[in-house]
Amino acid sequence: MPRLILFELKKMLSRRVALAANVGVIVFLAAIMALNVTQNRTVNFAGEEFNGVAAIAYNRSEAEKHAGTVTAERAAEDIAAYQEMVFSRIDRDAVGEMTGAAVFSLIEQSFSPEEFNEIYNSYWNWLLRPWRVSGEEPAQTAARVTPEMAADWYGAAAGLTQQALDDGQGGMWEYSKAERAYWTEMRSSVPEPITYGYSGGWDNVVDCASFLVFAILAVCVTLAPAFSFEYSSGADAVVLATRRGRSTLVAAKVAAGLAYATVYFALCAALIVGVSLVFYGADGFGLSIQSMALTSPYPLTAGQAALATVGLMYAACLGFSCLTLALSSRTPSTLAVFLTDVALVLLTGLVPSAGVGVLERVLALFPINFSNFSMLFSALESYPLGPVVLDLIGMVLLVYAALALVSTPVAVVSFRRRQVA
Amino acid sequence: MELTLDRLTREFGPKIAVDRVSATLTPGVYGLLGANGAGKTTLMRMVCGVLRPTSGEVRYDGAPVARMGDAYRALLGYLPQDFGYYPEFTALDFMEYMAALKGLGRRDARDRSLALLERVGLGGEERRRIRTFSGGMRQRLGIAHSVLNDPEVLVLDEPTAGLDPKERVRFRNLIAGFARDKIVLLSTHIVSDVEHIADEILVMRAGSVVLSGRPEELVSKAEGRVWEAAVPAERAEALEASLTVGNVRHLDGGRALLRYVADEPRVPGSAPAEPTLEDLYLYVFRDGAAGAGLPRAARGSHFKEGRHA
Repeated sequence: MPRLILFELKKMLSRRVALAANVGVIVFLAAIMALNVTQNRTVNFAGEEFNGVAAIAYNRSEAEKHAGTVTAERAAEDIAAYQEMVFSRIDRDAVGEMTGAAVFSLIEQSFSPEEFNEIYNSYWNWLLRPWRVSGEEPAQTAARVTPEMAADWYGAAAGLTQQALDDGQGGMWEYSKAERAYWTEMRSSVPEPITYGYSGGWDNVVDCASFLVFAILAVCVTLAPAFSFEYSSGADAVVLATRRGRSTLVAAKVAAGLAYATVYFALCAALIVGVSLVFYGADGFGLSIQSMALTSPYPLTAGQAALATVGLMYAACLGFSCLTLALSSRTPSTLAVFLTDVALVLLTGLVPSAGVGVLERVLALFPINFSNFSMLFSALESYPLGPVVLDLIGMVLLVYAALALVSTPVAVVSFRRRQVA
Repeated sequence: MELTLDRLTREFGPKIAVDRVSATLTPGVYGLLGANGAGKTTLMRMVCGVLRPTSGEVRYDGAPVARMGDAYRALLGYLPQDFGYYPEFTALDFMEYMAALKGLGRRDARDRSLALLERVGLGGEERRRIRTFSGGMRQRLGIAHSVLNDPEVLVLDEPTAGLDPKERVRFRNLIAGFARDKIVLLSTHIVSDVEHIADEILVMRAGSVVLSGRPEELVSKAEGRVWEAAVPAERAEALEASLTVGNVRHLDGGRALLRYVADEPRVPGSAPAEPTLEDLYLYVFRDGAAGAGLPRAARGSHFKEGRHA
C-alpha cells in the first residue's frame, strides 16, 4: 500500500498540467502576499503617507493607543472623553442637522492635524458602533449618545445582534424563533469585558483566506485525472486486471489524493499565515473577535477566528478533493471534471443572491463566499434544520464532511466496478 | 491448470459482440484469429475480468473467476490492445508500479523488472520516459509487464499491431519464450503472427468461434478450396473484385497468376493449390467480417466448439 501511494503521488504530480498548476498557484500566492505587504498604504489626517511595513507599523501604533480591556466603565468614560474633546469646539446640537461631509470639514477646520487624527482613530468608530447609523460620522453618533446610553455600552453592543435579527438581512430572511434564540444565546456567551487592540496579523489571515480557493483549484486540477486518465488512456484495462487493481489500488489513489491535498493546502496556508504573521505581527491572538467587528456574536478570539477560517477552507479543500475523485471515477473526461470544479469553486462567487435568503444561504456554503469575515462571523447566516439550528461554520463543516463521506465511496465503487468496454 | 470459457456472451445494447463462446484451454499457445470487430478484444476482456459477461462465465480449475477475484488476477498477465501507460513514468517506474499492483515485494520487483527489461531488449533504457519510446519499445515494455508476476494465464490482445515485420518476428519469439507451462491466449488479425507459435487456433467471426483446431488440422479444412489460375493481367483486377483472392503475381507476357479460395474452381484453367493458414482465413472470412454485432435475430447459426469440449 505505501508503495502504491507513492506511485500514485508520482503519477499525479508528474503531469505537466498538475505541476504547472501547483507551482503557479504557489508563485501567485507568494506574489499576492508580497503585494499585500508592499502595497499597504496609509495616509494619516496630517497628510503623512506610510507605505509597506511603515504603514503596518503606523496602523499598529494607532490601534495600540487604545489597546486594553474595555470594561463598561471604561467605555462610558472614553465616550464622555470623546464627546468632551469633539464638542469643546463644535456645537453638539448642530452636528445632528449636518451632513457627514459637512461635519468632516467642520472638524478638519476646528482641530489641529494631531487632534483631527485622534478624533478619527478607528477606536472611536468601533466604540460608537452600537448607536451608529450608516453613513454617519463618529461625531454625529457621539452627539446622540447620552451618559445613560454610554453606561450600558455592553447592552447596546448586544443589541446589535437583536437589531440584525429584526432587520432579517435587509428583509431577505425571516429568522425563526429557534434561530433568534440561537444567536441571542451565542451573543450572550461572548466573554466580557472585551479586549481591544492590534491583531493585524490575524486580521490579515482572515482577509487573505479567500486566496486559498486557488489552492483548492490546484488540488482539483491535480486530482481530476486520478481515475479519468486511466479510462481515457486505456491504462484501466492494465491495472484492473492485476491482483490489487480492484482493491488496494483504489484505496491508494484516495489516500494519495487526500495526503497530497492536505500537504499542498498546508503549504499554501502556511504561506498566507506566515507572511501575515511575520509582517503584520502575531500579537493579538487572544483579543476578542469583537475587537475586529463589534457586531460579531461569536465568543472567539481574533486568532481563533483566523484559524477557523483557514480550517473551514481546509474542510472545503478535502470535500472538493473527494468530489473531484468521485467525478473523475465516473467519466473519462478530465476537462469535464475540472470545469465542474471551476464552476463550483470560482464561479459561485459571481452568482448574486438577488435578495433570496435561501439562495444566499446556499451560495454562502461555497468557499469563495464563506471565506470572508463578514459572511462567516457577523452576517448571522443560520440554517434551521428542523429543531436544530446550525450557523455557517457548522453548516460548512457538515456539508463538506457529507460531501467527503458520499463522494469517497462513489469513487471507490465506481472504479472497482469499472467495465472496460 | 485449465481455463474454461462457458457460453460467454457479451451484448452492448442490441449488438452481440461475443456470442456464447465455449472453450477449454490448457497450457499451450492459443491463437485467436479474426477480422477487426470479430469480438476478439471483448472476449479477452471477459477472460481477464475487466469486462463482465452478459451471460456465461469463465472458470479457472473449475472455480468461477468472478468469485476468485484477486486470487485469479494474481495468476493473470494481460497486455491489452493499445495499452495505456503513464507518459511521465520511466520504463522502470512503470514496471515497478505494475509489480506493486501485482503484489511483488520491493526487492523482487526491482530484480524482475530489470531482468525482464533486459530480456525484451530494453536493458539500458529503464530510466527513459515511456513517452519517448517508439511503438515497438512500448509493446516490448507491455509484454515485459504482463509477465512480471510469472502468470499462469497470459492474455495478449493484438500485441503485434503497428509493429514492423522485424519487430513482429522478435515479438513472436519473445512470446514463445514466455509461453512454457502457461495458458497463452494471443489475438491477432495477422495470420503469420500465430501460425508458427500457436498450438491451437480459434477463428472468430461475428462474435462466435467458427473454427478451432491445431494449425495443420485447420489448414487441411481448406484442402480442395484453394486454386491458382493464370489469367490476362487486365482481367486479374476484375476477378479480384468478384473472387476471394489471396494473391496476384504478375508473370511475363502480360499474364498474372491468381490465387483464390472457393468451393469450386471459378476461373477456367484453375489448378488446385497447397493450402496455407492464410488461405483458410480467407476462406472463412470470404464474405467479409460484416457479421460482427449481428442483432439477436441473426444469432445461433455459427459453428462453435471448444478444443476439448
